[in-house]
Formats: sequence, structure tokens, C-alpha cells
Amino acid sequence: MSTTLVRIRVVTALVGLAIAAAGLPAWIGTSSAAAAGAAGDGSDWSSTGLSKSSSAVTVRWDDPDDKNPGADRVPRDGRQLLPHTGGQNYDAISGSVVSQYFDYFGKDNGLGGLKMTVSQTRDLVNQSVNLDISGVKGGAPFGIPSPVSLQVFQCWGGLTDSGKPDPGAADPDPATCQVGAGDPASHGQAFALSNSRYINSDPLVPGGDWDKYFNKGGKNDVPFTALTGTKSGSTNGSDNQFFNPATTNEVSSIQVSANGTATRQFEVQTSLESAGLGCGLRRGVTSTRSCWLVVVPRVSGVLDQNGPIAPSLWAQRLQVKLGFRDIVAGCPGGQSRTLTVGSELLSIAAASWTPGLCAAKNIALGYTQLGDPVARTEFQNGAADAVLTTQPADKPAYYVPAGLSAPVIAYALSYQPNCAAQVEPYTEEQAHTCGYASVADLDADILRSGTLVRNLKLDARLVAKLLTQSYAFSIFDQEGFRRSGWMVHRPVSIAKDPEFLRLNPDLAHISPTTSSVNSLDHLVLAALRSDAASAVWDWILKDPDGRAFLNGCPDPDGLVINPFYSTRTYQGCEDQRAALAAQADADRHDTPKPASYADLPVTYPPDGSPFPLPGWQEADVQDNPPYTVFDFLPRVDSMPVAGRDVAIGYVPRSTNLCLTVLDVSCQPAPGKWTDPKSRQSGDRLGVMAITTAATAARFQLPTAQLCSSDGSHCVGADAGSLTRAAARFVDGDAPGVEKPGSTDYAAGAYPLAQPVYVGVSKTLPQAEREAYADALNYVVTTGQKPGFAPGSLPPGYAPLPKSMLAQAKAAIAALRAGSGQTSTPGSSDGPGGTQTDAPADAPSAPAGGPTAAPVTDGPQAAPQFVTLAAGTEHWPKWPLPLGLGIALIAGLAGPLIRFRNAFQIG
Amino acid sequence: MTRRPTLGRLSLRRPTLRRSTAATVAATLIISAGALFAAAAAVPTARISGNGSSWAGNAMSDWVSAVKAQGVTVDFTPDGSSSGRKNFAQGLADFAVSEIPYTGDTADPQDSARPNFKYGLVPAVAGGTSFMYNLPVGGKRFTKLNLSQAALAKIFSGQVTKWNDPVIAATNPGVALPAQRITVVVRSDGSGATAQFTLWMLRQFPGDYAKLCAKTGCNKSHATSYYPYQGLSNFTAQSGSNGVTTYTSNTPYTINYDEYSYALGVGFPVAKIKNAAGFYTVPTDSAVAVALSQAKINMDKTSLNYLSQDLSKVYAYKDPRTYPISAYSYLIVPKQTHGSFNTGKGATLGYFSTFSLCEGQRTMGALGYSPLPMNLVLAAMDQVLAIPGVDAATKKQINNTKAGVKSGTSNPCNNPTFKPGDSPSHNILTDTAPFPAGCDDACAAPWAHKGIVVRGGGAGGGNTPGANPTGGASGSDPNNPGVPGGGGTPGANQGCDPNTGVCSDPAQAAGGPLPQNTSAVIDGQSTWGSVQWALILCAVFVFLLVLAPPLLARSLDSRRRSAAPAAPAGSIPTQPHGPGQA
Repeated sequence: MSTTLVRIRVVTALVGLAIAAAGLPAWIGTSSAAAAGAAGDGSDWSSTGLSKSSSAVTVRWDDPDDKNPGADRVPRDGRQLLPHTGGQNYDAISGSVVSQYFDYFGKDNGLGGLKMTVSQTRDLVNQSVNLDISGVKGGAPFGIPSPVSLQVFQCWGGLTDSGKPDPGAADPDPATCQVGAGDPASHGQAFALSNSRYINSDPLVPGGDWDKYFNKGGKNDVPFTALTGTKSGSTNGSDNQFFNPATTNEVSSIQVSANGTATRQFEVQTSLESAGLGCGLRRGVTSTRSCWLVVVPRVSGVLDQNGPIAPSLWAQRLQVKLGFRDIVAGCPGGQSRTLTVGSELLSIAAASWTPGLCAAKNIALGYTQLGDPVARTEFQNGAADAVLTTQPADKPAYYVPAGLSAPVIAYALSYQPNCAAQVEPYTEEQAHTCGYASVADLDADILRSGTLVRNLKLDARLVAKLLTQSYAFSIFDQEGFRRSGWMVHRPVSIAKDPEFLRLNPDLAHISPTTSSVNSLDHLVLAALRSDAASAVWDWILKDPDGRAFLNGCPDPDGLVINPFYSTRTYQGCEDQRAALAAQADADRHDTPKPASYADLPVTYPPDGSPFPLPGWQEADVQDNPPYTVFDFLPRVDSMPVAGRDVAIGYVPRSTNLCLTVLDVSCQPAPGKWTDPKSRQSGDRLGVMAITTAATAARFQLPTAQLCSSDGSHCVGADAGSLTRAAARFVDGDAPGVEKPGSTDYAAGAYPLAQPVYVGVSKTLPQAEREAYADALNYVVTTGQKPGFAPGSLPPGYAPLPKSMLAQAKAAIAALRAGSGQTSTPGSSDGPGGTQTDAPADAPSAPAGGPTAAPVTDGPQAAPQFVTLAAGTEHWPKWPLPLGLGIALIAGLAGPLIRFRNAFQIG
Repeated sequence: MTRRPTLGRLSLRRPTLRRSTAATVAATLIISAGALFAAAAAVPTARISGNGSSWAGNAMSDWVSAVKAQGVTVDFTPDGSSSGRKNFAQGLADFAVSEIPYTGDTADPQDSARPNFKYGLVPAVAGGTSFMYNLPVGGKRFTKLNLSQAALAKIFSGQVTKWNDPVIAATNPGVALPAQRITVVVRSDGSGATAQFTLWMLRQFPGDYAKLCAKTGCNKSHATSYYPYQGLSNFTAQSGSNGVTTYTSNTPYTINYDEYSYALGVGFPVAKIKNAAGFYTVPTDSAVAVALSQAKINMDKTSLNYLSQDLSKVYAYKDPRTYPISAYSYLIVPKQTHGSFNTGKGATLGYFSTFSLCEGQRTMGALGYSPLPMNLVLAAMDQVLAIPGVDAATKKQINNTKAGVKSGTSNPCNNPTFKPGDSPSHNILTDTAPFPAGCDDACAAPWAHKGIVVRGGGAGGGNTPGANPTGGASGSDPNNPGVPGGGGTPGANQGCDPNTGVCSDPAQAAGGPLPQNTSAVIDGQSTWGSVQWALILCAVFVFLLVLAPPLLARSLDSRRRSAAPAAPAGSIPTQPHGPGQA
């Protein structure tokens, strides 16, 4: 009884101090963090896909001097106790296992030993972190099997001896790890035992508390223990209520390149994405501030029949403690929402603003993603009161600038040289054939094999080619599309296009088929019509070379557009018109076409779907249903979905004929084309998509730099280049609405930058206008401050520049007042003269390339900003006194307990 | 046991001993002490996933992103109703979305799997199956196609194969229809859209359906989820709603069928369909609402198909405003735990269903659907209550909704079809639905509720009069913008939140997380604020932490000495306790 009291007191003291400690840095750190500025707030997002943070952590596998951060130490000696082995330690592991691990990962392996840097370890939300791995022996280039790989997953913490959650545990327990479902990459591929939660042959298990799972099949894999203490059902099948292949964030296998390195994004999950892990403190929910990232290196042939939670393998892990931001969810579902509909560009910002607004203002913001044109239609006919749009609607409205972002071309591309590594060394002659000056050059290039490309450059004509099935592999594949002469003589993919190689000299030797799924020949595209898609076409059409290509003119190397996509006007090459037209007509004529194809020129921007896909192609596969270009290049739902596809290395393509005789759901007979949903493996990525800058930033995807047609200047999307583009916005088609102006690559202005406005109907009653005004006031103040916290501006956006903020304020004031015309004097015309006040926006201005990004315009917006800043600082100051108060109670309890003890005993 | 008190003592001592190095202590503490919070769940935490109907896919994805912003994670894959029913039955999905049930005369005989646990249907959203077309006439995209239902049946059974067929020309006088082949685009995946459409053909044009089946080998007495098109040379099957939409928008001389939402998404026209009253309509939210007032809902609570729809009377309804091919879509939910579906997941599913039935209905009109009427919402809520594990907050919301409707005082559900005080079976969209052009007062009189006649094209209406996506051929007569009863968006005008009774004063934060009393924020700029108070509080606590325990100990000790003079041997007092002993 007394021990219970002591325990309660101790726990109280601990909890109190933990709260106090959590609050403390917020106090003492306020000024210094502000001084340190942007570090870690995500505002340094850029076209490389990398983002710096002040909480990056590097750990070494072999750490004899205990140099790893305290929480992240995993001693490779008897000090490491192995859970679930009946009290054994590292020294009990089989000698041959240990020696192989030291051989591949130890500091004396010739490469310095396995080392991993995690790009961010504190203030985490649901986001990607980058893992930079190096120093691994045994890595191999594409084409040669490697004996080593890495498994990555997330765990929530430790267990007490009785199997209960232990918040004070120094190390994670393997039972608490979200691993074993096989990650999405293994969809459609064979499930490997090494990815499982089975323990089939680890000799350390018999005698421990996991003995009952030893060498059992079926549903007898080790259950996952959730933070609540609940144990999951088997991960084999559909019994595990906490995670499954669709929801898990585990990475089953990271391949290591020949130089011993690998990089990989890893999605960290909060308690919203994984209730079982419960990472990120959430009110009313069992949850924790800290979780773990665990990496288990695997050596082929060593305990292959076991998942990474098997004690002998678990003992070889790297562990990094992760700190999560407290979770602020939005207003609960019962509350009436302030609704907005529209632009995909704002979907990620809206997801941040919604909970922020609820917490700060108790306004439940509603955001429905619609293509901008549809959203405007709905707004015009009264079905929506507020619209998120780049172009103005045809209806009187208050337009408040809310976001500055852009569509981007995101890609995941692991470098593979055209001449892959081979077991036999290359001869000088072979090296020359491969295009290298010497074998040494070739070998050096092969060492890059598997590394991620982060500096891809494209120009308008190259993008036009990718959008128009102009590369051979986007025209035919193995599924039986009939080939005509005109198809086979074109570059198979962008990697074989001389224009691309001139622009990207460091990719001179890149393989055109980095992946088994050919995908450097087209872009993954959304089906939803959007202003962002129009912006891509506007950019291409503004570029003389891009426009001429769409019109049927050849590029300098003689490549012409796929004749089924040509406008057939030949503007830009009128002198060659007759010959080009005759050739294109002949090519179309010679191509087998489905009966439904109507031979009409294509117009740009297309007036149907956002990106054209004329149904000119159809393959008859014997008695099976015909295979069409729509199966071959299917569209995805929206730009965010396209970006996620890149992040997971998935190229949508219905290549699998599902026969009714084999699967009755593949009706009607004889079957239908389905998507095998296979993913590219991490070292063989090659997929590109048009998505939003914020989607790319969320997944840490690199995005293509866009270049002038002479290739002299290239600009990547980042906060600075968006701001510089915004300085060039010109008056749009309605008062108070701006649109992109002239492209200026030399000034470092990103050509696809787009303003997004919230248009609010002028006919709304006062109460509703007030609600929108309050919400928008938050959006243009707190909502423009970069950061990961709910309510702030997530990576992938630039804070609104001064002129747009002024415009926003004026529009909000007019909205609140219900004044008839925002348009008239002050608001739009004043700041609308953007071209003149442009330099003021970007003081660091044109000179710097995309690197000069310190654009956050701090000073303006002063009054409201201060008020709200006080509000947001509100949370962290209370934990310290609260915690101290609790500790005080615990302290006071000490003497009391002592008193009581004595009493009882006496 | 022995280790823990030591830890406790250490932690107790830290703040007093190392005040100067508080920062480092805090840094280490924050890393080592993962705070653990546990309490009764405020919102459900379990993540659930479902799949099914792409007809309802746009509605689902709207709700999924809305509840995600509230802290609830739901996954939905719109891969077709047949796939949804199959995965649900096999326990691979927590819920399904489908337009047809597993059993009964509207079920698909090709469904190979049935759930072996109790389940129920929860109506989710209404909508119209639209016929999007791509028809160049005179070099321009034609946007005013009118079709009779008979023509539809002939086109989709492969009997009419040219755009200039007399059956089409009859309803489009003066239009130079091209002598081009019609390419009919159907869904290749098993879909509720197909099931509903073939059911319409079977019921309304059995002769044409029989001919279709004679050519393609389907069962002429049963509708199907898989469109029968084998051997029809002018038909093509495409996968999913995106597939048929992309195909149609990129291929001239095509026509397809799917939910209206998809045609809106690419800005393509849909055919105006001649209803039984002889007027041409498109599936706007109000036209669908008018139509579904005739849906016969299975009210037998003991039936597996409780709340399923019988649309026979919808097709032939004579209201001039009705869109004849309208239907409901359903969530199929478990009524018992099974496999990995436990009460935790049930709580999430209950929360999600309740959100979509209530607040979630408000966005449906803009997306190209039609919100559910209140009577169906109420019945659906009873089904939600049967999901195992529905939490107290969700139950409370459901009960509030029922009470509010019953008393006629409020619309707690915020449902846009309902006005407090009205009968729940009365959908106000049917009041405000505009009459089509050409329907004069006499034509409208028998159908207008409460004497309100809203004209097609009314600009001030709260819904979507004549929302032909191309700008509306018929909607061009702009009469009476300020129609009484037609103005304003239903359900959104209250200055006070009917749910909480809180009038919209945005500065008022109701029951936010721990210290979020926003009233303090307003004074944030003054020199003396809550930060200062907190500082003082901290100083006091630290002071007390140093002094109070030893003082208390001393006072207790003195009392104990008098109470029990003989100190027990070998017990705790041998440890000098706390720094105060010095």
C-alpha cells in the first residue's frame, strides 16, 4: 500500500518535471529561436527536395567511444541487453553473425563504417524526413546483387518486464515497432519472411517470453503492442487492427549503392496516421511526445527466415529518438463550417490552417478540393459562397490573396549509367563504346549508380514532349501496340533526347530505362482541370520553341511531336510546312487506329481534359479486350495524388490482363485490364509528375528546374523564386486579381508561380462575411508564417509579399464592412501596380540564383501579427509552472508518505 | 522497486540544485522523459479504410479530407462498388460504398462473396447519373444536346449508332448533327453506376435491355454491375470514373454515363434528359432531390436491405423539374466486430458516418451531388448507432439531431435540406428547385410547394438553377433574381450555431485544449500579461519546492514523535530526505 503511494508520488513528480521541462525550452528558447530564424521552419524548401533543420542527428553503427547522442546509443557489446531473450545480451549472439555485421558495417570496413544522418528529429509532424546513409560495405551498382540492405521503421518505445508501456524506458522494444506488414512497395510482389514479424530460427528466442512464437507459421507471428498496451492480431492476413500494407510507413529494403551510400525519404507518422504508435501528444488520446526511428541492417544469408524484430537482428539496429510536435486537431465534426471550395494548390496549406484556426479562433474552416474552373462555376451559380481560385470568377466578389505557390514537375530518379556494372571489368574499348574517355571514368560513373538525382533541368519544349507522347516508350510497350516507322526512330525516353542531355551534362550517360517500369518518357498527370494545369500550358505557349514544337515544328535535332498531338499549324516553321504536313499526314495514315478515333488537330491549352490524350491507339490482344492509350497512360485524381505516386515510386499503368476465368471479379468475360500496382524499388526510381510545390515539399521530392529556351538560366521552385515571380505579377481580369506576368529566368523568377485568391461572394449576409473575414485575417497573418505547426505556412509556399498582403488587408476590410467595391480606389489599384513596386518586394532581388531565399518579409503586417503571435506563444508558457506545481505536490507528498509509513508500521 | 524511488528523488532534487544549468537539464529531460497521456478519447483514433463506388468517390474524398482536418484518419479507394462489396465481405476493408445491396432483386448475381457478419446500409449521398458527351457540331463542341429516355436506351443498347439518327434528331431540331458513329463509353470495372443504369433500362425499356442481352450474352431479367458490351463494335470499356471521363473528354463523338460530378470536373456538357413530364433536365442537386422524393425506401428494420432504394417510381415521376436517373449511394457498415474490425474502428466509422450525414452534406451540391433529406438522415443515424463502439460524443450528436428535429426548434445536423419546424420528410430543395424553361405557371402550379415558383436561371437562388456546366442553354433568361425563399444558402445563415447554441463570436473559444482561454490573448500586447503571471507562479513554486517539503517533513516528524516515539528500525528515515536537511 505504501509502495503504491511512493510510486504514485514518483510518477507524479516525473510527469510534473517532464511537463516543466517540455515547457522550459519554449521559454528560454523564444528569443534565441527567433534570432536563429528560419532554421527548421521548412521555409528553405527548394528544388533539391532537401530541407535543413537544426535537429538533424547523425548516428554510427559502430560506436565504441559512445559518441552517438545518448538516447541513440546501441552498444555492440555485452552492455546491450536483448529483450525477449530471457535476459541475454549482445555477447550471446552467434559469433558468425556478429563478425559478418562488423565486417559490413563496422568502422574498420574500409569505408568508415555505417553512418546515418536523419534530417530532422524534433518538432515532427506527419512529414518525410531524409535518411542519408553511408559507409556500408557490400553495396553494389544496378545489375549486381548486393549482400546488404536496410530495413527502416518506426517504434513508439519501451515495455516494462510485465509488458506494459514504460515511458521512462531508455530503448525501444521490438514489440512496439510498426513493421511486418510489408510496405506498399511490396504490393504485387512476393512477401519475404525477412519483412515479417516471424521468428523462425533465431537461437536467442527459445527460453525467452517469445518462445511461443518460435518457428511457428500461420497467425503465430509476434503481435504488435500498441501504446495503449493492446496487442494486435496477426500481421499475416487482415487481423492486425493497427496497421496493414496500405497504412504502414515501414521500408522493407533500402539498397546500398556501390560507393556504400543510400538516401531515402521516410514518412514519419503521428497518432493521426497510426493510433497504434501514438506519436505526438494529443489531448484525450493515449499518445507520447517521443518515438523512435529504427534501422535494421540486413545481410543476406544471416537469419533470412526472421523479421527484423528477431533479437539477434534487432541487436544490430540503429536507433534515433524522434520528438513530435503536439497535435492540434481541427474543430470536431459537429461544428458548422465556414466553407471554401477550389484550388488544389492550397490543399496542403488548408490542412494546416484548419486546425490552427480552430484552436485560435474556434472557426471550423471547410475546404473542398475542386478544379478551379468547376469551383468558379459553383461559386457563380451560388452553390458555394467562397472560392479558392487563381483566375477570377464571373461574379462580384471580394478577392483576398491567400497563397503563393506553383505547380512543379516533381521526380524521383535514381541515377543508373547506361553501361551497368558487370562482374568482368570493362575494357578501354568497351568504355569508349559506352561513351567514356576511359575505364576510370566509367568506373567512377558506376559508383554514382543508385544515387538520387536532385538537379534535373527541363525547358518548355522538353515538357511539351513529355506531355504529348513524343518519346518512343510512351507510345508502345510490350503490350502489343502496333509499331509504325515514325514511332521507333525517336528517342525512347527523355534520357536519350540530345536536348535533355545538353541541358543536363552530368546525366550524359544516364540509362534510358532506370526502372523495369519505363517512365522517363511521360509525366503522371491529374484528371482534374485546374488553373495550375493551364499555367503549365501558358508557360509552354509563351516559349517560342515550346509553341513551335506543339505546332508541328522539329527541334534542332529533328524530333517532331507525335503527329496525333500536333496543332498542325506549323507556325514557327512555315517554310517547312508542306514537307512536315505531308510527313505527319502520312504517319497518321500509316498508324492503325481504333474506329472511335476522329482525325482532328489538337488545340492548346486543351479545352477538354487538363492534358490531352487523343484516343488514337488501341491494341487488339487476340480475343481479349482491346488495350488502349487510356489503359497505358491513365490519369490520376488530382495533383496531390500524382505527387504521392512519385514519392512511392508508383507509375499508374493498366498493364495486367485479369482474366475472368482466373478471377471472377474481372467481368465481363474474357477479362479486363487492371493496374498491377507495382512500385519501383528504391534504387531504381524513375518517375515524374506534375504536382503542387507543397506536395513535393511534403514528400521531400526534388523538382525540375525550368530553363529558358537557350538553356542559359534555370530556376527551381522555392520561396525566393516564387516571391520574385510575384513581383512580376500584372493586373488580371478582375479588379484586385493579379496574374503571372512575363517570364524572367535571369532574375530567378519561377515561371509557374501562381497567386491563389479566396473569392467571397458580395451578397452574403453580414454574419457570414464576418466569419470569412476572421478566417482570412488569420490566413494572411499567422497563416503566412512558415513552419510545421498547425496554422502556419507549410513548406511549398512563399509567404505573401508586401504588396499582396496590403491587398489582402484592404480586401478583408472591405469584406468585413460590406463595402460595395473592393475594386475602386485603394485596395487593388494601389498595390496592383506591382511592376513598379516589384523591387521593394525582393530586396535581395535578381542577382542571386535560386539559393538566395531569405525572403520572409517580417516587418509589415505589424499590428495584427503581434496580437496573434501573443496568442500562439500562449501554449508553451504554462507547462513549466504546471509541471513545477505537480512536482511540488509530489514533493509535499514525500514527508506525508513517510509520516504515514511510520504510522502504519508503528 | 528499489530503482524507482531513487529516480523520484533525483527528479525532485533537480530544479533546486541546478537552477543555473536549467537549460541543460531541461534538454536532457525532454529527451529522456517521453510524457504519456491517457484519457477517455475525445475523437476516435483508430484508422479505418474502405473502398468501393467511384460514383460516390468525389463525395467520399471530400469527407475524408474534412475529417482528417479534425484529427480522424479514414482511407478510401474508389475502385468500384463490386470491389468494395467484395473486400468488405472478405474482411479486407472496414466499410464499403455501394449503390446496390448484396441481396434482393437489385443485387448483382455476380457478387461472389457475402459478409458472414451482421452489416447494414447507411445512405450516404444522392446523385444523378449523367450522360457526358463530346460532340463537335460545325467545328465547335456542341453543348445543348437533348435526349429522350427512349433514345438513351437505344444508344446504350447498341441500336442507335449514328449521331444523326432520327431518334436523336427528333429532340434536337435545327441542329446539324454529324453523320458520325457514336462511340459509347462504358465502365469496365464492376460499378454501382452501371448497376443503377442497367436497372433503369431493365425497368423502363425491357425490350431494349433484352436486345442488348441478346447481343452480349447478359441475363435479360437482371441488371448487372458489369456493362455488357462484348461484340458491340461501337462500344468501348474504360476503367473507373476517371477512365471513362478522360476517354470521353479526349475523344470526339463519344457519350458515357457516370455521376454528374465527373462531367463537372472536366467542364464537359451532359445531355439533358427528357423526363416523364416532357421537360429536359440535368442532375443538379435540386432536380435529383425532386426525383428522389419518389424513391421507395425499404423500411423493414429486420431486412438485410433496410433503407435500400427502389427507384421504380422515380423514373416515371411527372414533376417537371425531376431528373429521372437519380439514386442514392450507401455506406455498408459492420454491425458487429469481426476480424480486425473492433470497437475502436467502430468509433471512427461512427464518427465519419455521422459527419458525412450532417455537416458533410453541405458541400454535396457544389460537388455535383444532392444532399440527403432529413428523414433519411435520421434513419441512417439509427443504423450508425448499430455500429459497435460508437462513442459518446457521436451518440450525443445523433440524439441532439433527433431531438432538434422532433421539437422543431433547430437543425443541429446543419443539413441543407431541412428547416427547423418542418417535417423531416420535406426536402426544402424541392421547394426551391427551379422549374424548367417552358413550364408556365399552370404547368408548375401542381408541383410548387407553398406557392413558391422558382424560375429556371434565377440568379439569386441558393442552389444551382439550370447548372448546365457550359453556361446553360435554358438558364439564359435571367428573371426575378430575388425570389423569396430562393435566396441564401440553406442552413448557412444562422448567426448562431444551432449545434452548440453559441452565437458566432469568433473570439470565443469553446473548451479548447488546456490553456487556450483566448480572452487573455486580446490583452497580449499589454506589458503585464499571462506570461508574467506564469513567471511569478514559477518563482513561487520553485520557492515552495525548496522549502515546503522539508518544513512539512519537520512538522510531521515532530507530530510523529509525539504520536509514535519509537522510530522503526531500518526503514526509510535512514535516508536524509531532501536538501532541506542541511
